[in-house]
Amino acid sequence: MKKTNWILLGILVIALFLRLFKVSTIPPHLTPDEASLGYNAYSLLTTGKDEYGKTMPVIFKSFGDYKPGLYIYTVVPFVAILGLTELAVRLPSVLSGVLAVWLVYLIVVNFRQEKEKVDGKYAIFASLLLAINPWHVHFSRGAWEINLSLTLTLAGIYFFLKSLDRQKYLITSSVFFALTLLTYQGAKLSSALVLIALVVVFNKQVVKFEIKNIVLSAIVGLVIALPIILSLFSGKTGRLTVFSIFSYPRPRQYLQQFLDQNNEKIGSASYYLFHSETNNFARGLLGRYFNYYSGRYLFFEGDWQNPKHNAPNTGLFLLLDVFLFVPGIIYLVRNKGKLTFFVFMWLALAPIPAVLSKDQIHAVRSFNMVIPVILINSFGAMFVLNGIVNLKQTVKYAALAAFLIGYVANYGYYIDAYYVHLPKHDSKAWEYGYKQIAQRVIALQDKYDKVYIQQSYSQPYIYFLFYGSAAGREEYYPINYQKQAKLSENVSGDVGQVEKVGKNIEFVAFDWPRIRSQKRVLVVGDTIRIPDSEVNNNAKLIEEIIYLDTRPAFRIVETL
Amino acid sequence: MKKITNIIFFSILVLAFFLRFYKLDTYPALNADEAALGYNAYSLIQTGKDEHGNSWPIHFQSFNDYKPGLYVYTLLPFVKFFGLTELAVRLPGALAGVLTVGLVYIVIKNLFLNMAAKTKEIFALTSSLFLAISPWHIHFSRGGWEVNFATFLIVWGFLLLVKSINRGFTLKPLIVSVIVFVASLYTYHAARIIVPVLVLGILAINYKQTIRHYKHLAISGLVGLLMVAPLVYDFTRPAISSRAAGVGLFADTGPKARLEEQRSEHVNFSSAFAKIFHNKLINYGLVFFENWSEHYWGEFLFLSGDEIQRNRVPETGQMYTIELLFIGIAVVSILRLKDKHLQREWLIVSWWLIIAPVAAALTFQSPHALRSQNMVIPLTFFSAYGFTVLVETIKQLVKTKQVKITLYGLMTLVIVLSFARYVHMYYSHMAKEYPFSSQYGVKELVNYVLENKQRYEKVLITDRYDQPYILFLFYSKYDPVKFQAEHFLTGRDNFGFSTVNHFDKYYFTSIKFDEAKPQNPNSMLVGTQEEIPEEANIVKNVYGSNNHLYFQIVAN
Repeated sequence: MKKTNWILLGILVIALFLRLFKVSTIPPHLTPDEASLGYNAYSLLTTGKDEYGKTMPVIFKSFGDYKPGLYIYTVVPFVAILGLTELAVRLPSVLSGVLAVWLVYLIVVNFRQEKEKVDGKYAIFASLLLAINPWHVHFSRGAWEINLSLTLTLAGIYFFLKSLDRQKYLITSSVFFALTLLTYQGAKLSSALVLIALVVVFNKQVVKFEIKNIVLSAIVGLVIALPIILSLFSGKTGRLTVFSIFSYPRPRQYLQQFLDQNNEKIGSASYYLFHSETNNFARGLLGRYFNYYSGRYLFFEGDWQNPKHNAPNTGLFLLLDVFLFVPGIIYLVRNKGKLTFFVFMWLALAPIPAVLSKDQIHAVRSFNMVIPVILINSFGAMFVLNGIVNLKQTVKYAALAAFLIGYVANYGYYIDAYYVHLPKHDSKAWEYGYKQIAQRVIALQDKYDKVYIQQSYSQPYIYFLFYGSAAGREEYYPINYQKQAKLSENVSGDVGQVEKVGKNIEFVAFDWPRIRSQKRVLVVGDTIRIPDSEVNNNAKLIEEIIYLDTRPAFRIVETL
Repeated sequence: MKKITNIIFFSILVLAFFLRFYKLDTYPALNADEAALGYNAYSLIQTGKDEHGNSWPIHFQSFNDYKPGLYVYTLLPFVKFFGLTELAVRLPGALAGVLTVGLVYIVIKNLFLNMAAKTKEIFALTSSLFLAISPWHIHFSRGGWEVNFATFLIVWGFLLLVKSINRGFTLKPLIVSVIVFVASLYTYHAARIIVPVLVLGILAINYKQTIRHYKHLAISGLVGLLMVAPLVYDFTRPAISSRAAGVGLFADTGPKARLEEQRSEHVNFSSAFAKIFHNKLINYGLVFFENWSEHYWGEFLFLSGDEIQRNRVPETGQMYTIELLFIGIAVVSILRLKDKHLQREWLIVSWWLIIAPVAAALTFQSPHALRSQNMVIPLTFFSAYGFTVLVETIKQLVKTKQVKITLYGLMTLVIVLSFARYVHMYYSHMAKEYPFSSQYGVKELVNYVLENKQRYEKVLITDRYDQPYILFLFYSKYDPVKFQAEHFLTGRDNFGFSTVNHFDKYYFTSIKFDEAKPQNPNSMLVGTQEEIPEEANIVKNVYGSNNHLYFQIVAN
């Protein structure tokens, strides 16, 4: 093997280690989506149907969010081998994360063959930086469909580049791009943006493709993605209207109050010039767009609205990545080439799916950004290394050593944040406690006529199905649950809720006085619903579930 | 050509003047800090002492916030000449604003030696035009804002320094430059950090010349040190330095609380790892760098501006949104420059841009448009350069005249529309959208009270809004001799401010109407709408110039 290959292998091992080490327990709990992916995979494995009894679906109803289901199919073999466990659910993402590191290497190498002057080491840097990147590691350590989707996108890009030499690869590329649609809701837009960037960058080559190949690839892609495309018209669009920013114009009252300050009227010239709804949306979109390029997001806090999306008190990149990012931008601007052009376009386009959604910031929907930023950082690394070549030996090595020591220390800080702080600090965000509830209640449930669990959009039912099946309780097996499955739809079009699983477990909106009046039932609720004053007064405490930071989370009590 | 340029330049100055002086005395309403600056100048003229009886201070005690004093001293001739009026207080600020617009033109001419003459002319004119219409610069030019005066001094000092360097560090401009820079330190806190860092950076960038001419530098450095000495001596007084620490980063307890939380999450909270990763240096360091980075956030610069209402205009960024495009173009074309001289000159501007928010980042509340106002200068340079590049690119690439005119017209249209929207927001919405951003209504109140107070024994005035006493002193032109003798300054509150609760017939207190009514017969009670019950004997409703109801006056 060549030296580069050995290095690459080393990087892949590092990537695998960072993604696999303790992945069953950190993050500390399965999210509802992860549990659902796992249970549906188990359902497919044992019955060939999803939890609602639908045979081999492409789109899974799940919580009413209609998940594109490729990830679930990738979980099936792992569940078959490892059983229904956290590891089995997360492994496909772990492996696709490692694969992404390799694909980034291949992509850069193939761009190089476009007779561009990119240093050979560049591809190595890119894969190394991706292998250790906090953002990419984070979403590789959980069943995040977006991570698989990104890996498929990278494969699509790689085969597109190959197709520039041998056109038959165009179909392969098309297959991968189509598969992203089967994996992740947002891929419809994000993959289209990548395709646009590729076509713009390689417009001269694309024009030379044979019509036959283009048509064939298009047909293959469309056929694969057909169920997703059809779903656009059948309403199973996964809460598109709930999430779109365009569903939220500014409140009429606010606008009116603002206009009244100056006796302006809707429809007047000054309204159209200064206060129009278009203007307002444009400001909103631009504001979101800016958020994705803020230091706060990339280097200091990460996704400040969703603690689940990164380790606490860290950004999505290391702080010291700034010293690669800025030179990288300089390199990007100074060098006109296909790769730099592509990276620039992808960087500019990647946040768009996130920008169009209602949230101010969202690290999942903007996940594709990680690749262009990593590529820029690698440009930066090369640029700096080439820049200091002419310095005195001592100065050069001192500077390098200083940077490396700083970088390693910075990485240590991130590892500390991830392994030590995340489980404790963000227990609640990770829905910690439902596994413990499910396991405890399942052990006790036969002693009671009724079990009431506090209903929540954390979808407690799915944890009962997951851990019930894992514990070998037949009533939770898909074959039995499918007959029972019923989702109460949400009127607003958002996710629904399930109200009953197993023999005697009900998920109810919490009305403690009424529940209390029933004798000898098992009840589970958080510490707000079952406050201290009730415990051992009106109810017997069976167990208190405690978050990893030692704050109380839930109480399992028995009414007297 | 020369003549046309002069006409354009002159027109820009007229525009800058108009934008800074139109309704200057009435809009926005005078705030407490401005009143304090004005009244202290008035007090100095009358008595040689400030409002609290300190003679000729370097920092003015005011609300125990110890304001850097140079602005008060520049007010002296204006207050002497125009009397104690809003206009007098704001004139030096507005004039400094216009002068800065002019200076910027000269700075570009002197800084970029290797730029093609024609490009440089367009660039210089655009710079001063963009600064003339800059929301950031106009906002703080329209009022007695020390920061804007300091920015003027920094630009002036910068120009002199550049001139001196161009001529091989000639002594005369160098010393004048030092004097002007030192003056800025006497004007505004942030300048004390920005100016030394800026100057050191410029010297480092020109290090070869710096080393060669160390003698001149040493002489002017010595002059600077001598001049700064009184300031340093005054600043080290505990009362003053503690105030500065009060707005500093360490006054924010958030990072410290986080530190404790982080350590507690370690199994052993006193382990080496817990201490290496979680300590004050790291936590406060991270906050500093994050604060600093937030000054480059698009939302702040191009969409919504500062969060503090007094520093902002509704739905307006610190700059126009379109300037993002210009800055982008500028960055790209600057990074592609091959000429070493031009690179170095842009390095100086970039250095300025990088360090401009450093002082603001050392305080809590970020991004902070006021404390980082000097950022507007390098940003305007970038923006104007991008515009220049765009114009020249169109000139070169587009051959058809109609297309060319259309493109120019389009650019003009976008700028004019952005500008119109800003002016609309400033004059038609700002005071009404943020009725508490300045002390609206107080002038109207004082006028009424002065006309009617002889009929009452006492006047009780709500202290709900910022420092009412100083505005009463200001608008009633109260005799400083009497005031110095009779008043008492309270201790510092949680935010480090003190106030005066009583002078003459006036008592400044929160109005608890049910208690105040029986206790204060034959008094005038001035409260907010929430404080005064509807059934009270309201003799007057006081509205601000923005038609907001601020005070209700009860004859008791």
